[in-house]
Amino acid sequence: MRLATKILREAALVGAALMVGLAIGGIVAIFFNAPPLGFLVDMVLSARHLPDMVVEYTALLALTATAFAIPLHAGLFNIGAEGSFYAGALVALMVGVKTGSLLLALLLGTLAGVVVTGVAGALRVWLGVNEVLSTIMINWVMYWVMLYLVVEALADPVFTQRTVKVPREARLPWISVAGVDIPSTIIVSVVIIVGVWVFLRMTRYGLLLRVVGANEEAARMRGVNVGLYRLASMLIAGGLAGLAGSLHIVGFSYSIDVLGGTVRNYGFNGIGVALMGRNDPLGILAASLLFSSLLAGSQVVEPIYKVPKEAADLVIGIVIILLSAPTLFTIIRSKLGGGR
Amino acid sequence: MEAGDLLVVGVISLSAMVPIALTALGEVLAERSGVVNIGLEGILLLTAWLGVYVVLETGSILLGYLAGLLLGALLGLMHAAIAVYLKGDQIIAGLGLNIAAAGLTALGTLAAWGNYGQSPPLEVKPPGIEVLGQRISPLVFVAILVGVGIWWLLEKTRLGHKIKAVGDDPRSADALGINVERIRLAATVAGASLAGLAGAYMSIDYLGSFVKLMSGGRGFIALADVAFSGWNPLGALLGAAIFGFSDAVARYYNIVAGTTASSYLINTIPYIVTLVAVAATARRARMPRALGRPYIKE
Repeated sequence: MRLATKILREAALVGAALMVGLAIGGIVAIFFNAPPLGFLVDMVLSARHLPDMVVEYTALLALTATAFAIPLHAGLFNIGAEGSFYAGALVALMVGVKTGSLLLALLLGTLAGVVVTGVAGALRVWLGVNEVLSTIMINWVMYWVMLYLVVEALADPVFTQRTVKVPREARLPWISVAGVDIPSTIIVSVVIIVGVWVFLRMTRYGLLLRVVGANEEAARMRGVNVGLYRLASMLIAGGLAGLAGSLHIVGFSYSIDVLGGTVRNYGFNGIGVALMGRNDPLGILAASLLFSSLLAGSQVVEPIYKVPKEAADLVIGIVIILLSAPTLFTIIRSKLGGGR
Repeated sequence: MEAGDLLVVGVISLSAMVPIALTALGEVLAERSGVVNIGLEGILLLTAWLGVYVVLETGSILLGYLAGLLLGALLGLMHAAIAVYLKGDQIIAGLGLNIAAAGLTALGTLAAWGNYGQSPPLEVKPPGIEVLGQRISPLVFVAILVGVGIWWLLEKTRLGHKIKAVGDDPRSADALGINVERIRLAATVAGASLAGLAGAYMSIDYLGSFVKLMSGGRGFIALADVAFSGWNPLGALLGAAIFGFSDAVARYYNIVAGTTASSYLINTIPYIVTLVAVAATARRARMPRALGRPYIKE
């Protein structure tokens, strides 16, 4: 019963923040001479015209969001999913092209993600380098290294705006659900997210990880190796983001464009998803579906209403700002409902 | 690189150092009071946009800077409201601001200039003195003065001691009759205003136009500079100079070599330098003890 009330309260909080964010999206629509209500309704509903994109975004964002959530449970802010996503995509592409092996592409892509975020984890645990700073610096380095390799080593000789494609035998086949073709990356993603949920809620290690984040001193008193748990949380996070990047290559995009647009922002958006999902793997799954619909929907309505798809970023940013201060809503409610 | 080239790079470094220096100095002030602002990147981006917009509309560079400063202050006020009064999560609020700023400037660019990527170039020439064919902006001197000024404020004045007390031990400061929340509010707003000035400088002076996502991680590099400096304004100036130099080397090579694939690799230099500098000094740094934690009275 108490759990149900808690979930309801969290959902109400997220819902309220989302309403304010969407209202501001509506104001933006007015600036671009679009009818605000029609724009908002269409933005939310028209995602159904791009089911494969919604499913793909959901699969990827759930993974990158979990890559933010797990270190947060251990008390770290991991902004590095973006860099690990690039690394995973890049390595999966190179391995897929070289070997034609799906399994090897996924495995080594994931490993690349582990290494990239792992560096930040190691710097934090052994040198005390703030992980927000290190992960952001690493993201930028990975971004330029990726573009360098895309242009210098992987460019397609015919279609010069993108890299060569992963060969057919190294691709993840799509599945058909109710007559709609969708990428099967979602199956991998959901299985992993459920696994993470079990790990966090049902295992001793998951419990200790959360103790490390909630109360470092208490964890130390119990004899928990705080540094080791924190490093592990970053390694797992890197793996999840690296896997997301690899899955995107072998399961959906098959190549990277020379501007990196095919792989950008999945890591950053994952942070927003994690916050809306309240850092719980199952909440994250729900939030990533919502986010993906918003992102896909904003692309569908862009040519219709002439409102740039970046409107979705503004809405998402405002929702995150509002969720950073939950007391805001408590204050508003006590002002409104005075007597209660 | 020859000696003459090195001098040119040195002069470019001065221009490249300004946005990092101003942003980092403002953040030193805010963090000394106990408030972290991860949203600096977003402030730089929004004020860079507004600075160019105002200059294009009014033709006045001074008004452009003023607009940047004011918007910075306003965003600082918002962050302080969340961090200081609503006791919210400072990191998350900042991350939200960064995402919202990327979206808002993209929308604003299309609305104001009819395209997705950039503003038209400014026609008014920013002021400055010529050295070796490179212009040195007066903001270079402003940044150095601000650095010395903030050092003097923190080390030599009563207000400075109050700011540091509030950032290290808010409970004792409160017991001594210092208004913790008001000091934190003032330091956060002042710090964000400097970031606003830095953003306006980047678009009005450094680049001469607004380009999508032009802040390029400088807000975060400034945050790294704060850690590198050990929360000392003079150290932050030094860190900004190191970053400015590595940025100038990257820019210089890209001008000489032209934009090729290898210039992508050269672009990584400032970020690697920043990471190495922070890693090398992290163990010795002593950060304000109540940094990032809201003060809740009992």
